[in-house]
Amino acid sequence: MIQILWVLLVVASSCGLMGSLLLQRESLMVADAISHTILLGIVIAYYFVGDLSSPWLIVGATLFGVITVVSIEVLVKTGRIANDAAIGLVFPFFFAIAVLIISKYYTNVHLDIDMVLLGQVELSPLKSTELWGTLLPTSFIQGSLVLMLNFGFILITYRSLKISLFDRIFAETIGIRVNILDLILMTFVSLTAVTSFESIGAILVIALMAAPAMTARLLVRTFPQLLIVSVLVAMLNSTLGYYIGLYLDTSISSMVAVISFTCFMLVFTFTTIRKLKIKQVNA
Amino acid sequence: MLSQFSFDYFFWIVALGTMVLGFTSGLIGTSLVLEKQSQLGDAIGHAVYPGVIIFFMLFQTRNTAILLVGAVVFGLIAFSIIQLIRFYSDFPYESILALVLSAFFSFGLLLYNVVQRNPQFQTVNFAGLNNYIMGQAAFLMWSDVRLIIIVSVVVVAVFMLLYPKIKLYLFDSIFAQTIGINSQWISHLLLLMCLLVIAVGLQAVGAKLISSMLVAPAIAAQQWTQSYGKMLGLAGVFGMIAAFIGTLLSTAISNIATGPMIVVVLTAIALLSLVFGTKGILADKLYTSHKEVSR
Repeated sequence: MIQILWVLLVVASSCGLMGSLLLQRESLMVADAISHTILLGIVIAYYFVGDLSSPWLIVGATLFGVITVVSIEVLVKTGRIANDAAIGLVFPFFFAIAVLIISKYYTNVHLDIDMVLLGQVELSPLKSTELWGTLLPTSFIQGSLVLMLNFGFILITYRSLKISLFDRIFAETIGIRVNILDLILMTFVSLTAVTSFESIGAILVIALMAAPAMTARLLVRTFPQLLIVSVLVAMLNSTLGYYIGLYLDTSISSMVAVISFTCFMLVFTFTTIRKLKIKQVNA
Repeated sequence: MLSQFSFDYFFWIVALGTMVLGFTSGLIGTSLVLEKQSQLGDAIGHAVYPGVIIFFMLFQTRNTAILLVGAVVFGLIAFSIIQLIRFYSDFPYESILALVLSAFFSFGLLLYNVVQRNPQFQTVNFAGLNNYIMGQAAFLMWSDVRLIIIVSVVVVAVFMLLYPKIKLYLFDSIFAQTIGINSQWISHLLLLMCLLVIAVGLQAVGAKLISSMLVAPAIAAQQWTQSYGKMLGLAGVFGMIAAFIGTLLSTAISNIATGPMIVVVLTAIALLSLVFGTKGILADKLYTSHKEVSR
């Protein structure tokens, strides 16, 4: 059973890390769109490969996440559609097509909508891979790999990433290729969403990208602190959600999302009260 | 394919429901798009889900009208929380939407899980509750369609009654304020109307896709006209046409869900309008090249 928690912890760390980048880039709703449209990528890849456990599904889905981002940007570039409306146009479209294909052709395949929404973290220990003599859940190995990739990406591009997230125009003037960096960032977000959503579902992916990063931003002042605290909060939320979910015998991934929001609201209330008190004293 | 099926009573019930819904959501969605609040529709669409489940648990009924009240109540709670966080923090608006959307929807899924496992609820048929996520237009009954029509008539009537004020508010809120129109009040009223349409549309299109019914017709309409009055009419008509074609296709082809089909047709209309509309990309290109020649 404890292996479920391992899976949750690595996936949550990845989401926390990427979430704080997305929060600074103001693209959390794009991530929401991605976490739904990758379903179409999976469906299309499945059509060609015919095997649900093939790594090509991850490649196809990740690619589709990037296609979603690019489509939104193309629509915005026409100058006729605002960013928020473009997201609202693209994401239901791709998601609806995926749902149609699944309900038409793949109803007998294990590829259903509930899985997409909820994930199946409870079942993750059932699918294991042997690694150095120990049997580990496949999603744990996958999650750790993606976490390392994400970490490596941030480490390598750290300076450019930080500058372009906080001052895009300045970053351009000093010669950082912001557009390319953006695309790479969204590729990693997409990869994180793809590998996470198999185990924890699309909704928890968004919850774990938004809530821990936002909780962290209330508590810290610098970018590195934001990254670290965001990961810590994500891990704390999943641990709490895991044990409370087990205790109450309900869906663990929904519980983690609810706990994450509760945690945010608590921190938000305390920091806001403190801020108001300081204002009062100053006045 | 069409010959195999008849335009029977059930088809017309479903078609009537989705078409009325398509018209109203197209109409009211224009305000969301013009206010740059498209994502709010998506967030509220997800956030109303726990309201449906809680009211099911409280009243142990699947009466659509009662569940609709639950949806509206939770939509209002979600909106208040969004405004609260927005007022007391400097988070980007969209991040607050993502936060509230995921939290509320997860809460709904959690409650649904409770309903599934608790024998107390087994006496009532709870299976239909799942339909509020992806929508099940094919199972719309006359009572549901009646509810859609009642809500639509009220929403459209109020909208038309206040049309001059709404128009002023959308295009020049500061001027509207100076001549004594309460912008705050209009904005809240518009939101309430959106919320009602979302709640009533959940059963047909589902929480996941309802935002498209609001946003896509408005985008399509914008590509044909610059007058708000015409945009309203066009958005309503586009919504209605897409709903009819979508329902028709999903009835004619087996194993095709109505809600997603309507969304696909609607987006196709929006994309085609974007290219071929009189204010679209092609027209713009032709117009500019013509101007250059005459110069």
